[in-house]
Amino acid sequence: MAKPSDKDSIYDTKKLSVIFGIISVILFGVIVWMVIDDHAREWKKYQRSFEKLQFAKAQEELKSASGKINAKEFDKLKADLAKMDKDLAAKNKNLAAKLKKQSELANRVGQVAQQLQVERSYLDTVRYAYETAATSDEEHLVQMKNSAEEKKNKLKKELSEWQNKVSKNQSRLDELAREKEQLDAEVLSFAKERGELEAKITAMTQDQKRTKKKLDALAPGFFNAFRNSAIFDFMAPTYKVHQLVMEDLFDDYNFVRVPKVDRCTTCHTAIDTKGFENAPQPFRTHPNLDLYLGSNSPHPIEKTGCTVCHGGNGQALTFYHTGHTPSSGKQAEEWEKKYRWHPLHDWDDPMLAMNNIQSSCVKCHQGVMEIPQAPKWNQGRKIVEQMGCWGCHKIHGIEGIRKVGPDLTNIRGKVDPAWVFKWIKEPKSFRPDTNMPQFFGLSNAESQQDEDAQVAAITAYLFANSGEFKSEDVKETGDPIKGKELIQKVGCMGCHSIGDIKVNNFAADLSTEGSKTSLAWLVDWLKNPKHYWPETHMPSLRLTDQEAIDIASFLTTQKSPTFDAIPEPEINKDVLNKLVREELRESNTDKEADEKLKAMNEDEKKTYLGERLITFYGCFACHNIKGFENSKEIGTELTEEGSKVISQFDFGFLHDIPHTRQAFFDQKLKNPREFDRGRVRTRKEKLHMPHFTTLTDDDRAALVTYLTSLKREYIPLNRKRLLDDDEKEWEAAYRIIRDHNCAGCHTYAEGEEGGNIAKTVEDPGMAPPSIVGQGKRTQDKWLFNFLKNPTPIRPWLHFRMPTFGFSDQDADTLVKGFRGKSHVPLTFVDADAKAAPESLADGKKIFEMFQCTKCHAVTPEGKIELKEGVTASDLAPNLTLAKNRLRHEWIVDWLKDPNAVMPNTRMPGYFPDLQSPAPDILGGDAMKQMAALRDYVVSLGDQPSAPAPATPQSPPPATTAS
Amino acid sequence: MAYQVDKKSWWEEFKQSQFWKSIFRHGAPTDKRNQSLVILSNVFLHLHPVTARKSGIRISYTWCMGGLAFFIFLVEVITGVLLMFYYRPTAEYAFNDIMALRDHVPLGIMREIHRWGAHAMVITVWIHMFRVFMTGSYKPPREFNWNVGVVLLVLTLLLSFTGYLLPWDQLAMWAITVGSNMARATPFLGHEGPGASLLKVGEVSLVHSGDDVRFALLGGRFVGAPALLRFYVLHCVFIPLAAAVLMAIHFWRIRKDGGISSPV
Amino acid sequence: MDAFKQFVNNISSPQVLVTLAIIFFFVYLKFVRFFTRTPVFLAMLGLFLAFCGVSLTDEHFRSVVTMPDNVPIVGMIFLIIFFTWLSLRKAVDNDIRMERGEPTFEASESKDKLYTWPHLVYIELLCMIIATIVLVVWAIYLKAPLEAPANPTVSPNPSKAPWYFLGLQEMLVYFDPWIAGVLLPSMIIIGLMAIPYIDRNPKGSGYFSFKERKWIITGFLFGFLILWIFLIILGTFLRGPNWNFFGPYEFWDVHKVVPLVNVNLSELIWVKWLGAGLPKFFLQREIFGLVMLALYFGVMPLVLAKTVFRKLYMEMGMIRYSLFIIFLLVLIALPVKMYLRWMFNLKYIVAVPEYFFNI
Repeated sequence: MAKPSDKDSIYDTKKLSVIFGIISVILFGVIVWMVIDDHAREWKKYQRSFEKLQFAKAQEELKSASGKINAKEFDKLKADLAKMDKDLAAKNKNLAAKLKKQSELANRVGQVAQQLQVERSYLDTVRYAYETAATSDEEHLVQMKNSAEEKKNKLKKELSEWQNKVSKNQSRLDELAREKEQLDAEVLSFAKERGELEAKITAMTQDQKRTKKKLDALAPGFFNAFRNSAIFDFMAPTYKVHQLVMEDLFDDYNFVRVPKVDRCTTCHTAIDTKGFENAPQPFRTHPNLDLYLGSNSPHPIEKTGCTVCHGGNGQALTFYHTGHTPSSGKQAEEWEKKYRWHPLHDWDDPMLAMNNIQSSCVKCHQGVMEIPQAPKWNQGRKIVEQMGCWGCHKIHGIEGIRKVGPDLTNIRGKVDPAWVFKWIKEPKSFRPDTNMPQFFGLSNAESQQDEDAQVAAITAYLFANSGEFKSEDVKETGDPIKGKELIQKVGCMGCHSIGDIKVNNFAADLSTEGSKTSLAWLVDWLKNPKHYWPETHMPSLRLTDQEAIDIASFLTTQKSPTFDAIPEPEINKDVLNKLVREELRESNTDKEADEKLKAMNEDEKKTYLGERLITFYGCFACHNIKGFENSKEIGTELTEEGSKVISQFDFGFLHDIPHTRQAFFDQKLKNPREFDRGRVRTRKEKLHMPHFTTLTDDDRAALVTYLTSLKREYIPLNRKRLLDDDEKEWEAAYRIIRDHNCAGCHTYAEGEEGGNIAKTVEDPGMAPPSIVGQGKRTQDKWLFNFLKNPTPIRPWLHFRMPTFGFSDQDADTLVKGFRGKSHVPLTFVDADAKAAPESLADGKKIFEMFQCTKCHAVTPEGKIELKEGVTASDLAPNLTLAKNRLRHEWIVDWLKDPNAVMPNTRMPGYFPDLQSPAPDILGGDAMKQMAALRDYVVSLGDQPSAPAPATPQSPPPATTAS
Repeated sequence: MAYQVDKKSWWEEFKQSQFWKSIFRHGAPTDKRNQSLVILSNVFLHLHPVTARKSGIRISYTWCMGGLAFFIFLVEVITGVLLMFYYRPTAEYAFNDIMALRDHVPLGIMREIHRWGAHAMVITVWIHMFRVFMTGSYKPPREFNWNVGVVLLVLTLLLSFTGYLLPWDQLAMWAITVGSNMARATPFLGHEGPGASLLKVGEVSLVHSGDDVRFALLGGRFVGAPALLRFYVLHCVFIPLAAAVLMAIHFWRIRKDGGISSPV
Repeated sequence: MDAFKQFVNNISSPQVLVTLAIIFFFVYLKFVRFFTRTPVFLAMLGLFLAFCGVSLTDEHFRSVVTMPDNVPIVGMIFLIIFFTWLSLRKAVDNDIRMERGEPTFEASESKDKLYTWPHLVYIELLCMIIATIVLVVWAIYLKAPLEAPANPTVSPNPSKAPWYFLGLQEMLVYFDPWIAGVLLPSMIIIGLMAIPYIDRNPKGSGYFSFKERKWIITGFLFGFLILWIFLIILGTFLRGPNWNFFGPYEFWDVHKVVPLVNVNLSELIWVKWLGAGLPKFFLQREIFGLVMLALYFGVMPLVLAKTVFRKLYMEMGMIRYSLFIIFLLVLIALPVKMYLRWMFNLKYIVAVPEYFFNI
């Protein structure tokens, strides 16, 4: 083997060294670039600009703080201070001399005292020696005793000398001390004065100094830059990750729960500090801090964090990966430009867009029909309940409610097939604002004839399976004008609307009723709605026969010419056969289907097809139909729709809407059949969700928020907003209140809108009373009986409190609900204590003084002649009822300040801020007077001849009292 | 002139000090003697012979692929250990820790280097095998070393396969699910493999989804937390150790079988 | 441009692409001396780069190719192309030298020795630095993917194995999992291990040469380049949701529907040709498949030993030859099975689902 020689090396080492040099420099550059790239995190950029913002804000504060100090006063104070310093110095000088002398003296005293102590110790030893000697009798002891005696005397003499020397010095010392004290006090008072002055100055400059200090901390300088630089930021960086750790709130990592760690405050640094309300995002303060994030708000930041409401990935630290979601297309474009944002696919639960944020409330506020401060969600849930979505789509939490649509089991007694056909085909042609959705004529409809045949079949089935319902024919003729007036007088407008009176739309609009039902049916329905439909919420207004006939005859005149004009199309025979054959074919072979088809006559075909179509379209979801009493929901269950994975939503060929749940819900509500666009499907495969025509844009937005809230998320019990007993009672009562639309006439709680019927009368006194705080006002027993069958209290009202036919259980729930709402505890304290006779007499005196009888009737019959200047609406309830009706303690509250209890009531305030207008009675004590007045009013109820309250069925005498 | 002591600079003197000489046993490798000593006295350098055939050094011959594969393996070990400081292989924290590495852990970029290094290592190992085959370097006396190389190739793929699952995101979990689904079809040992149904004693089937080779690989019937832990241990301890031992044998055999192959 | 894209999408189906690849492979090796010339190589590389450049303007192609996890595979393609060319080029140079009687390039240099320090060590240092630079720059530019947390209930579509196993996942389309997932990988490993013991040709040890080791190189390259690398490229870039095949410029539509018409051999013969029902007993049902297998693995080796491989059989002896022939036949079986699928929609040659035994 040839000896290794260096000459012919393989590569020219010089060239290699050059390469080595170059790539080493490149390597160094690349490593530096890597460290910088790794260091330059997005959130540090935000924290740097937040620091700049704070710096600017601090400068402003500094300017304003120093602006506050007015220079003139500041200089004056400075001058006083200087002067005071000068003469303080002089004082101090002579004080110093005194002090020096005093300290010398103190030294001397110390010295003497020490000497004294030595002497004393000797004295003690000698005394001890003496005493022991004195008490012993041995010889040598005696001898010792004598010497001890002399020594003791000598010592004693010395001792006394020392003692008076010390006392002399001591007195001298005390005297000096007193002098010094006196001088100190002087200086002290002087210094105190100076101290005050100084405090005033510092107070003035104090916040200037504070901001100055803050300013220096934030000022960009070498040190701040150094402590945040790439490698050196492990020691004391100002840019840090801020996080909130919530042990009892969890992120769901698919079958694994991880305690939430929200790092949003790393960029949203000032989210919970006031003062940044209009700072640029992400540094803006959270709106209304006293509800959210404030330390004593119901959602404190360190216990709640951010992602539990906003969603998104709390652990991530970039704008994109945290899952920010724009709430509008415009914002999306803005973000694309500004943050290079695009939809996040790598996180199942991206942040909720701001317009859907209320969907996070329900995860803790469960079991309530309305969540406080979440109006959009409440609206969504109310629509879902009233439109009957839960009829087709099972939603956990909305069960056991009556079907939303009218009962069709006796339809033959109410309407004729022609009307039903036109109604099913297009409900809004008869009544534009009806809740009944549109099933036919939608974007994926087959053909006109095909749909007509279907509608005819459904109608045929309904009529074939309708029970017999005979309403007696009406002999007398009604007076439509009286009927029209009665409708507005009696209180129908509490739920219905007619013509241009549209204050409530809880129930149907009656302006076209004439084209629908017959006079006989209407009379029977008005007299007793439950006769036709046992579960109806329509109450009886205790109409007399004549009244019912008048109203009915007026309603029959209200026709809808356009609807009547719609011709009932001819059903194409072979289209019907085709449809029937299709249905037969599903459960028979071809041959059998043909045979059965031939064997059916016209009606049998329609009823058979009708039954199949009802099953297909799910009419039984909202209506009771014979043969479908316990059919199950036909739509997809929505209980966890908000957590459903995006890939399970079938967007079909709709590529123009974004691939998010919200967009899917919105499109489904806007036009459900749109998802069939471009698809080749047989009739039975086609989408058949109906289109709810009356949904406005914000209805849809509310529904989208509600649907997004239907999530599967675990919240531990201690973080849930659990209802206390009162709230539970009210919740149960509120179910009944909403089903029977009490809000149509009354306002039942502060802040809730209601009592719209008052808009139909000018005089507020004629409007139904507000039942806010009803639990505090009336006695439970009385309210229970009143709800079961109402008795007149305010005779002058022409609106009648309807008889809803509440079951005992419902009435009881309502009473308990009102108690819960007003937080009235159950007490049995002197329920029926008798009032003392003399307080009755005082009460009577006050009663006459206030001339209560001007408005209140005091006799059981309740007769009042109108005095001059008193209109009907000034009248007030009959006071004889007070004993059993009103809670006695409420009467006192009422007398104290009527307007506070029931705003804009006619009752005058006799005791303005508890000052009694009658100083002579009961010593002018307002409270006693009110108690006496209450006792007297209660005693009015004891009058024997109070007539039994009018029974609801038999019409009361046709006097003004109603 | 005063007596001129050839004053050596302090540096020269320092280099004669006991301290210096205890570390550097020989002078700078500028002359032949030191060039040999530098190889012989250094545990890492004595991987190479003192002198090597010129054709063996030629880069267009060896492509330096073996060296690169080994170097990237070292990069992987270093970045891997750094990542182990932050990564907890449990279902709760795995994903969060990787996200922390991405978002705020200082030098979180190590994860990128580790991942691209893994892909790079697989490619360099393939090309290394390709070069060794094309130069016929598997022929005697190097057959055994070729086999050790093939085993190392398999270990590299297993290293990458087990590492692939650790970020515990959808890509990882389903890639491993697809990969491990093949294992259930192993003849006789996989519960869906041919012959598994033959291993039955009366009615009791011995091989079922609860004890077949896939279950052994995953520690469960599907890719779950046990699989993550099992892959973590394989990825960080078991396979790297095996690979290190085999690499030692591999280097040893290269030297013993006559260094880089050359025409005989 | 769209017409071109449409054309490419239409023609790109597994059968067309694999056939093209095989033809290109054999033509390349047939005229290796011409194709490995530097200008020809640079021209072909330029052509390929132009094709990639143009394709990158297409949004779908770009979205697939520039996915962070697919970039290493693009890098691998270029590395494989370069190194294949380099090795064949050096082999051809040596062949020409040997034909002229001169020593091979390696032989000329293997005589003299050089000190490891600095020569070898210096080059290694440079390689290491360059490797570090590449790794770090790559890490800075491309961020490692981190998708949604693992969710056992939601399987992404397509779910792909790690990229280096995509060749095997591709085989899952044609073979039963036990073959594609277990048998083939073990055959590859054992096959690789067996190479030194099968190829006893003393020539070609320690230097590049094509002529002296023609068949073993062709076999190896076919296995490595076509059945491993090319199928990985196919699996990564052209296999989309539901493991359907998509053209390079085609949108990966989850709803794409492809007719599933594959038929087992037994069904083909019993039902289609003989019109009789499928017999119950599996042996009887699968008799045709079993016969084919017996012929392929049993009879063919003997015939080959007598005819084409007679010289080889003499050299290798009984055991070594049978090992070699088994590996060769399995290697050939892959493309054969693929073509049976494409031409006759043949699903399994032998289908015994009762025992999960399908071939």
